[in-house]
Amino acid sequence: MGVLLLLLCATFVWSGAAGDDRSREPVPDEEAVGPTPERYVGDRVELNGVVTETDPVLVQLWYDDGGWVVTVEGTGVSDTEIDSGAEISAYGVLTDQNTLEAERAVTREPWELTYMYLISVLGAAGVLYRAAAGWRFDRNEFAFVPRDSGTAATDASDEGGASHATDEPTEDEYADSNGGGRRG
Amino acid sequence: MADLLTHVLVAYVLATLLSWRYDWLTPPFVTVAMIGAAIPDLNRLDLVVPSETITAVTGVPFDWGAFHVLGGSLLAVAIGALLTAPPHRRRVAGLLLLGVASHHALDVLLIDATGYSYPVFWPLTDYQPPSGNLYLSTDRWPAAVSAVLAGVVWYARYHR
Repeated sequence: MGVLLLLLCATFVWSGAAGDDRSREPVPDEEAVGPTPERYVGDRVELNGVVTETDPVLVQLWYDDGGWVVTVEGTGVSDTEIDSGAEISAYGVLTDQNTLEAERAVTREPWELTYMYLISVLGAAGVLYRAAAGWRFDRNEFAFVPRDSGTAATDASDEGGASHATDEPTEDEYADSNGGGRRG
Repeated sequence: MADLLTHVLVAYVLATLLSWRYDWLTPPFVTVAMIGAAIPDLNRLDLVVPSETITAVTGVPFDWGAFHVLGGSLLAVAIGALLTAPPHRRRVAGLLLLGVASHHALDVLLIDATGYSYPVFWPLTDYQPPSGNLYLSTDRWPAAVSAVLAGVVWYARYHR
């Protein structure tokens, strides 16, 4: 267990160290382009920011130590209806420091992001509730075991509850009768 | 990432369908698959403790994003299985894997402006599958569709 936790932490560090090298087709983003956009002119980049004006489409971008504004043109934005204030992710060629010729763009309204987080919290809460209802921490095993209303009871009635070679169902029954009200 | 509700509902549907074939797959084990479907989104711990903060404090590069690729997902599955009592570990690991796999399958189908998905198999390979471009994580219909499916499966489970 300790080894696995260490490995997991090592993976976070490895991933952090790898950065863009994790990707086979690394596409520079606003963090990378921001400090020196002139070095990326002619390259394909993906810029994520907020739409401040729609005709032409102006996008406010931020990076670590600052921000800049880019005009987004091309089929990526001309085919889509874009509202001011929307979050945009635009992919295409940086034709000069402040212009992106977008092949594709994805936009989302701020409320859509709020929706995503709210519905995701709902999903997380549902899983946590089911986990607490279905599992409990067994102090003898020092591990999680199912709260056995289903299996153990069925096993017990099918097999008389006495024919088990393992002691695990017995422990469960013991724990159920003694600690049924205890929350895991 | 598609929204988390969609992920856990899809895992519920898959695990419940399997429960019709495997008697041991009781509701607590269906929950395990749903937990597995939530594992890759543990990368959102970034919203609680940003990776940059950890890097700044410890001085080592750090990225919660490892949860959302094969390597971190698998380690989390192994840890999750070890948290359960020995007789359950194989089944728990299998169901966590089912959840993790369904999560990555759904997320590779997401719309991506670059046309490429994320390097899902990292660190085995840096291959980025072409993105499915079917939906955004902010779309409402994936959660609606999976909720309907989950409702059908739930109804069938108790009225078979």
